[in-house]
Amino acid sequence: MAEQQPAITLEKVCKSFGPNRVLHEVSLTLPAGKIMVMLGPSGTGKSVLLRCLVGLMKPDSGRIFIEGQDITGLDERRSAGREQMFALRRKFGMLFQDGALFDDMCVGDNVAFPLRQHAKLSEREIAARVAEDLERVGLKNAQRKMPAELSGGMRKRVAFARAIALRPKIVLCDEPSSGLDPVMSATLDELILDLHRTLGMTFVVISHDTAEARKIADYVGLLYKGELQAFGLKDEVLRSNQRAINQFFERSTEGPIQVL
Amino acid sequence: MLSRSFRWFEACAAFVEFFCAVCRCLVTGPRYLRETLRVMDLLIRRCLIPVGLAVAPVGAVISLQGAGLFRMFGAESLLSSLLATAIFREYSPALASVMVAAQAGSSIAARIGTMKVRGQIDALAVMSVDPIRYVVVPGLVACVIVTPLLSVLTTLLGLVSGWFFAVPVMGVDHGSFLANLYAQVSLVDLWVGLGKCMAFGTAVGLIAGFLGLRTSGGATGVGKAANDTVTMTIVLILVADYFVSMVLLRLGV
Amino acid sequence: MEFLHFVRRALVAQFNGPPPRDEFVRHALDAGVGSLPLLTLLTIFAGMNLSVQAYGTFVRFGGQDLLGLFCGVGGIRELYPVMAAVICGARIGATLAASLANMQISEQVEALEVMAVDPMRLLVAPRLWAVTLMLPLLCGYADVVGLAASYWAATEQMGVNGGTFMEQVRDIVHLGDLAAGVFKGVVFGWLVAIVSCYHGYRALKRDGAEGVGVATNRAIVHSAVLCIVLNMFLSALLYVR
Repeated sequence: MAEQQPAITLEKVCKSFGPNRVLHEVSLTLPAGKIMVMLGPSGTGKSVLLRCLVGLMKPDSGRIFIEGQDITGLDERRSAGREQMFALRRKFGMLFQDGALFDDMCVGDNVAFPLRQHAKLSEREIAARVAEDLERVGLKNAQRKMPAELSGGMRKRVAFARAIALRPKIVLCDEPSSGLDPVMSATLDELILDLHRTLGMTFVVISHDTAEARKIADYVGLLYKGELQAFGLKDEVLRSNQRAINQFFERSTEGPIQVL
Repeated sequence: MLSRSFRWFEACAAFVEFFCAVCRCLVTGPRYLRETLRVMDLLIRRCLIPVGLAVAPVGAVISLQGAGLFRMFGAESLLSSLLATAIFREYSPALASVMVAAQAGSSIAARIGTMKVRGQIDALAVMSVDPIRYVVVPGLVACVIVTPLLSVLTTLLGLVSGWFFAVPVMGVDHGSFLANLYAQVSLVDLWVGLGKCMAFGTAVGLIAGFLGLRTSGGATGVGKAANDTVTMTIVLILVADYFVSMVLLRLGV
Repeated sequence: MEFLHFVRRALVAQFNGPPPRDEFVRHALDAGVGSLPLLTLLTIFAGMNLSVQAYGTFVRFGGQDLLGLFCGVGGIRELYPVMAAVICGARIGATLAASLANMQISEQVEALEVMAVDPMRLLVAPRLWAVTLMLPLLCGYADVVGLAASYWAATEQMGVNGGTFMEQVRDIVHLGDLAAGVFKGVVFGWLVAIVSCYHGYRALKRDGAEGVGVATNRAIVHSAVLCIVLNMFLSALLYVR
């Protein structure tokens, strides 16, 4: 265990949409088993970064390593590349912004879906795992409900249960606290911490909530105009007195980050 | 069962209410002429190509099959009469209307439905702009005017493609084709066709507006509104077309 | 270009082993049984219309006794397959496009990708198979219903002799015509499904509810136009000597 590979390494990742530069030379290394919170104002490429990590988007240049494996060279148009990409994605769980639950399946089937697709488990084992995960997110009694009947917070928690059903090594969370009341987002934070403690997963959390970053992060990054303004251990970054970081954490309009 | 028939009844009542509101808006001001013209322009540009593409092949197919059929009786020269009556009276109005329903109806319903689920309809009402007056009536007026215009175009296209498949492809004589083209078509046929188009255009505009405003349930609801508009208007067009043809036949026109 | 790429991916997914069974059965039932009421209603009126209009036209040059020929040729060779396809596009295609577009804008398709499930295999392939297999059956069904409606209108309303009508139909419609109708059904079914899936699949998250409306609209219009145009070429291919 001494020489463990870092979970995620980015090397000078660039991505543009036409003239729009969304990511510019982003480099970072995240050790396994840590929680990283990536902060930044809306529309600065945080979601694009997340999508690059799972290969939903391809960076224009630069390289991305997942547990030491380079994923930027995988060509999804070839079946071999696609196979490898799919094999790689089994390491990931992803919590989408609005949950992305399948509308035509009940909550239980949604959580069971990745298990039925990939795990060689019997229906009984799957049912046990689903029940366990739903209990973990506090929705034991919602198993037969349809996604349309759930509130926003419940949908997110179900999506969480689905994201962790396969016990992935890395869990990506796209704005877990957006659109939720403070108590519900605190509950989700607790859930992340709890999962991190019990299952030892690596978390990448995209957020603009500084309170969330203070509470759960081991590592903090700040993305603005496609560039990584700051990255490192939470305490170091907070102590570093960088103007962008201070501005973000103090909710000030004065500073290098200009939204108007 | 009871709740279902109740819902049906409720929908009918809502439609009557909607219809009255539309009529009220039509006879009283203010009218949004600029918006109406904008929608008309949009509809013409969006519908022109699909409608043309849908009707041209019909003339071709009538010629293709008709030439074979008439050849068996040595009456090839009658082909163009058949083509002209069929196109003037039936296929041009019906097909132009079906394609307007598919293109304009579904996009109007989808647009109103999107405004509804995004709360823009409520926003209009809060700003004391009557949504029916502002979003439904311009679409309706545009449909009523655009459908006959498109039908004129489709008639021409149908005849041209019919000629192409009859004369160069199937080898019918050019002279007799032209000579018999208008033999059986009267002015009445033309007016009947245009009248049908206006009626069907009204139906498209009304149904699209009605279903668009009733949209509920987010993005899925928008798709459903667009879809239901098309199926309902197609049913209406075919059923109405049949009864109109029956009545005309009985009247002997 | 983008469309061709999509077609290639869809074909690979479609012929790469049998489609997921549950999805296939669900869509086949929805496409087939779900379209029956609408298709029945429309073909009855289209069939009667065909008789009434043909009579109105033929009576002008005294050819009303040829009604059977016209209804046989016009209906079975041309009208019913196209109508089944257009209605299929308006109902099934629109539903397919709307459901896929909805999955796209709520990130459900991306969720599948992240869970290492190929959305083409799971979502597109069963829909393609379902519609391709159901539409020829619907065409055959429309042939029967439409012909019966034409017959009824011709004999009961126009006073054409029923025996002559059927004799003419039997004379002019061969087994080959029925086979051609089924063939057209297969082609149209696949076309409607692929066009609708394409437009649904192309919706983007940022389009929101509007994207679903646009996808539905395009699916309806493009599949209808494509089927009508393709029908002309198929007819020219099959019936011009």
